[in-house]
Parts: sequence; C-alpha cells; structure tokens
Amino acid sequence: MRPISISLRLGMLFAAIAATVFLAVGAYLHQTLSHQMGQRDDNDLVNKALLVRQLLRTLPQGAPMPHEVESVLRGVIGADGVMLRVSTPDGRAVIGPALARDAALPAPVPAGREPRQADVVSVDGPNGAKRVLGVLAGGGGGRMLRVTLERMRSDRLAILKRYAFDLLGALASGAVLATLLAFVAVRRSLRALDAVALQASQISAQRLHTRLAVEAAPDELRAFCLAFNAMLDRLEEGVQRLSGFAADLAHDLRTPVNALMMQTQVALSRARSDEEYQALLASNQEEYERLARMIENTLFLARADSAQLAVRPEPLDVGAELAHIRDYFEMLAEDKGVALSLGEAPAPRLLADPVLLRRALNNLVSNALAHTPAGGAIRLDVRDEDGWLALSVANSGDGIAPEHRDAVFERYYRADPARAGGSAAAHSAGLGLAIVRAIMQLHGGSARLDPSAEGQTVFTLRFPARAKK
Amino acid sequence: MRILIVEDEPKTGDYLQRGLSESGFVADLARTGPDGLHLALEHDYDLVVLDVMLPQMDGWTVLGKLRERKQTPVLFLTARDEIPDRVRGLELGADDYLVKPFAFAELLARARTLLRRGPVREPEIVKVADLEVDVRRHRVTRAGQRIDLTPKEYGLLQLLARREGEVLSRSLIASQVWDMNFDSDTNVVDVAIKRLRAKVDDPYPVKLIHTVRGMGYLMEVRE
Repeated sequence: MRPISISLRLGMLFAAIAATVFLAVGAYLHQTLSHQMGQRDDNDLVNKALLVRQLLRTLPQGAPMPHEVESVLRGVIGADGVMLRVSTPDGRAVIGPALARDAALPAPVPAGREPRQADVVSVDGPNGAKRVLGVLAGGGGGRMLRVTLERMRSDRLAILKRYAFDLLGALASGAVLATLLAFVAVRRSLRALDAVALQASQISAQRLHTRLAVEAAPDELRAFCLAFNAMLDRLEEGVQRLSGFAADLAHDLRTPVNALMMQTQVALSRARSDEEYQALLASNQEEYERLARMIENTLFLARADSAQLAVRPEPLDVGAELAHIRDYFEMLAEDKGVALSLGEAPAPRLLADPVLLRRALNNLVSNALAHTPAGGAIRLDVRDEDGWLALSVANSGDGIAPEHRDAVFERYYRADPARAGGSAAAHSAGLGLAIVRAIMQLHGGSARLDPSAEGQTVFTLRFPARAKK
Repeated sequence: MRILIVEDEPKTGDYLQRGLSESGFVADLARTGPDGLHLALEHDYDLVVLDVMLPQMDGWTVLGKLRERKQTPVLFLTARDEIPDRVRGLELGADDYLVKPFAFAELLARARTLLRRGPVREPEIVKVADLEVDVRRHRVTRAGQRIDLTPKEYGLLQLLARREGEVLSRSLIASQVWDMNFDSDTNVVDVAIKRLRAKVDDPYPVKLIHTVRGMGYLMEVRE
C-alpha cells in the first residue's frame, strides 16, 4: 500500500487536534455559562425574597393584606418568569395561587435568618424543573406569612440549548477552516521539498559535481541535503575511481597482449626451428597465465566492491595460520637469503575466512620478499591492539617513501612509476595490496602501512577481535 | 576411455579434442547443445566435458535432459564463476566444473579424477624407476640410499610420484602441498622443486622430475 502523503497526514492530524480542542473549549464554555446563569437566578431569588420580607414587615399590625401591597409586590417581582405566593401558615393563599398540598417543598427559611443561595432548591413540577425558595416573613402583628418564590428552568434550558447549538456550529466551522488553512500551510511548507527534488533531478552521471544548495534549504531539510551531498561525494569518487580503474585495466591488459602479438608475429615472419616455436609457445603461455591472473584479481576486486563475494568466516587459530604461511614461504625465503620468522604469538582465535586470510597474508609476504634484499629479515607478528587483533608483516629494506604511503593500497599503484621490466613487473600487477585492503574490508577490519622506522616496512592487518577466547 | 566434448567455440573445441586424443582418450566433439545431447544419449561415454554457453540449448538444459536418462559423469566448463552458477550446475548433477580460462593440465587432472571413480587403493610403496616412496613410514630411498626430506619436500615428492606422468600445474601443487587454494603468483613452487631436485635428482644420472615449460612439472622416466 502506498503511504499517505505528508500533507494529507498532517492535515488530518491537525483536523483531529482542532476538533478535540474546540470541543473541549466549547464544553467548558457551555458549562460555565450554565453555571453562571443558575447562580445569577438563584441570587435573584434570594434578593427578591429579602425584598418581599422587607415589604411584608412594613404592613401595619393586624391589617389585612391591602390590594396595594399586592401590586407593589408584583412590581418588585417583575414579570421575568418568577412566581410569587404568599400564604398564611394554615395554607390560605394571600397572594398568588395556593400551594399544592402535595408539593414536596423544603422547609422555609425561618424569619430570624437571612436566606442564602444554598436555600434555593430544585423541585420537579408538572411543567419541568423549577428553582424554589421558601422563607417565613413577619407580616405585622406577629402574624407569620409563608413566602414562596419559584422560577421555571425551562426557559433557561432553552437558552442553553440554543447556545450549545450555536457553539457547536461555530466550533465545527472553526475546525474545518483551521484544517483547510493547515492544509494550505503544510502544502506551502513542503514546497521546499519540490525545490530540492528539482535540484536532485538535474544530477546525472555526467554532472555528479552538482550539489544541493544547503544554505537555501530550510533547517529541517538541511540534514537531508547534507546527507545527500555526502552520498554524491561518495558516488562521484566511486565513478571517478571506476573510470580510472578501467583506464588502468585497459593499459595493463594491453601490455601483455601487445607482447604476445609482437613475439608471435616476429616468430611467424619466417620459418623457425621446432625449439624456437616451443620457446615461443611457452613464453606465450606465461603471458596468458599472467593475463588470466590479472582478470581473476580484477574480478575479485570488482566483486569485493559490490559485496558479491561470499565471506565464510570460521574461528581460526592465528598462530597456526601464521605458521602455515611461514611454511609456505620458508623455502623461497631461504633461497633468497632472507630470514622469515614468527613473533611470540599469544595464539588468540580469530573469526575469518581462511582462504581470504591466506590470500591477504600471501600477498603481503610475497610483497615483502620481493622488496627485501638478501641478508634481510621478515617477521610476522600478532598482537592485541585496543581490542583489535593486529597481524603485521614487517620487512627490512628500503622502506616506502612517505608520499606513497596512502596510495600503495590503490589499484594498479606502483611506487616505482617506471616499473622495472622483467619478471618483477610481471609478478606484481599492482593489485596485490588492493586485494589485501578489499579482503580486510570484507572482514570489517582494515589494512594499513605503518610509518617506517629504520628501514622497516610494516604492514598491519587489523581484525575486529570478536572471536577471542 | 571415451570422452564427449560439447563446445561451440571452434578453437577451444578443436584443441580440447586434440589434447584429449593425444592424452590417450577417444574424444568426440559436438558443437551445439542438441548435437551433444544426441551423442551423449546414443553412445556410452565415460565422461562428458560440457560448456555452459552453447547455441540453441545451453549446457544446463543439456545436463538436465541427459540426467533424465543417464548418469554419465559431467565436467562443466564455464566462463562465469559466480557462485549461483556453480551451485546450479552442481545441483543439476554436474560432477565437477572448471572456470575458463583453465590450464589444460588441470582439465586432464580433473577428468582423470572423475574417471577414476570409486575408492582408489593407495599403494603403500610408490615406485618410479629406482625411487621408492614408502607412504606408510614417510621414507624415501633412491638406488637403495636413504634421502632425508623436509615434510614439505616429502609432500611434494609424494604428489609427483603418485601422479607419475601427469603434468601438475603450479596452482595444483600449491593447493595439494600447502593448502593454498588460490592463484598465487609467487615462485614458491619453483623453489621447492629446485630443492627437491637437488636431493632427489642431482646426485643421480637419471632425472625423474621434469619441467614442462609454461605448464608445470611432472615425474616420469624418460628414455
């Protein structure tokens, strides 16, 4: 399934957030309004009850309720949904309709105490809930009157309902509007990506030097641009190396092919003896083997580069491996008058591909033998180096000039650009150390040439010491 | 011993046929997959040398169809040595493979190994002319005189003596004697042979170890 676009995802997220927040705020507003309205109404009831009590107290002693009093009281109460009843203690109505007998009314506030908001109670009536406050009032001449004030809740509830409805409408349209604006904002912000994509689309193999404009990119994209540029750096280097590699390879293949063609043509130019033909064929055979080896080595490097090479690591006894290499080269070294020795090995274990490890060591030792004059020495060592297992091949000799130190691992690199002819050149096609480095990279390790001291050349292979005992 | 070569590249095919014939085999040559398959099914060959890249029908198909009816040993020749290719060949029932370019001596050695089939009884004493190698006791004598050899020299001599008359390439020797299974371009083998000769051949009038220039070494009695 295709992932949802960022703008859609952000937009939907924003819509959800807006809806939630707006809804919470709306609910809060509605709740506050309802509470405040109730408080104000209850307060009004209390004030009116006080006023009615006051008026009733002014009535002359023993006088019947005059008609004027009633109209004054009605004026005080007003016509805003409040109903006033005044009755005698025995239930006879003085003002307003009589109290229903069965109405469950709370006990009225005694005359000696001021009514409070808390005295207002809700009562369910036939026409819905109402707020009721009952007080006792001295009506002159020690006569007690019961005053009941009632306010219907229905109109208030209607207002609140209306308000809630309006609120919901406003919130919904607010959320929709906010979401739309968010969409537009996200779209606009993401336009910076289009700019980057446009720049990236103009990069091709021929124009690998182009880089994304990091400075012009917004902060969030800067890391991406930097990473992308770093990738381009690596690609450019790789492509350059590849084209250089192809040129080197062509040159190195051309040399033996040229020799083959020349010697064959010269031989064929006139009749020769059997011995001469045999010598020619044998010489050709040697060149062919050299070519085959070159192809093999090149292929090895190409595969190592593209990680197609299968590495089959197994736990190896390092001491035994070094001894093996020593055995292999012993006769050759003796023949050349070079001492080949092993250092005191702690014999740790190492996880490595045995064939590849031998190949790397083979290349290093044969290199060392080629560059060590008679009477010199080659020493193989193994040691622990900050948690890495370091195998080193040190040889006495002229050493390698510092300016060549970094380049010796490059393909087809030769410290001597004139490349001394004859078998020495045939023997080293300039791939040996490149292969060593590739093998070490396949093992997650590294190969390096240590700064030479006193005519020593020391190559060190560092393996991650995972399989130590 | 009858060998069928299926190879479309004209020069390679011709020379393989010639080389194998000169080595004492009866070698037939087919230049296309269908021809090769037809011949392999019609006749009883001891070995089929089969190229992978063939016109009309590739080597894998030929092998697959052949295996439906026959178990003739097959030696694959391939220019590609990617592991999946090799695995595919071996899974289909190939008995061995060689990656081009290969040394003819190597092909011969592999072919002989495939033809030898079954357990080979190693003699306890290998004799070449007046040279005797006592495999059990690691003792070497020539003309009755004891010759002291280092272990590696002994391993080399034993290999040459056992494969008397076969040209052994340097890489084969390095692999068999030192277990170095890759093409090393050092002349370790040449030096070892030189030292072996100094002990085994130089003091005696008849030379047994011979150099085949460009190919390798062999041990035999030459008239």
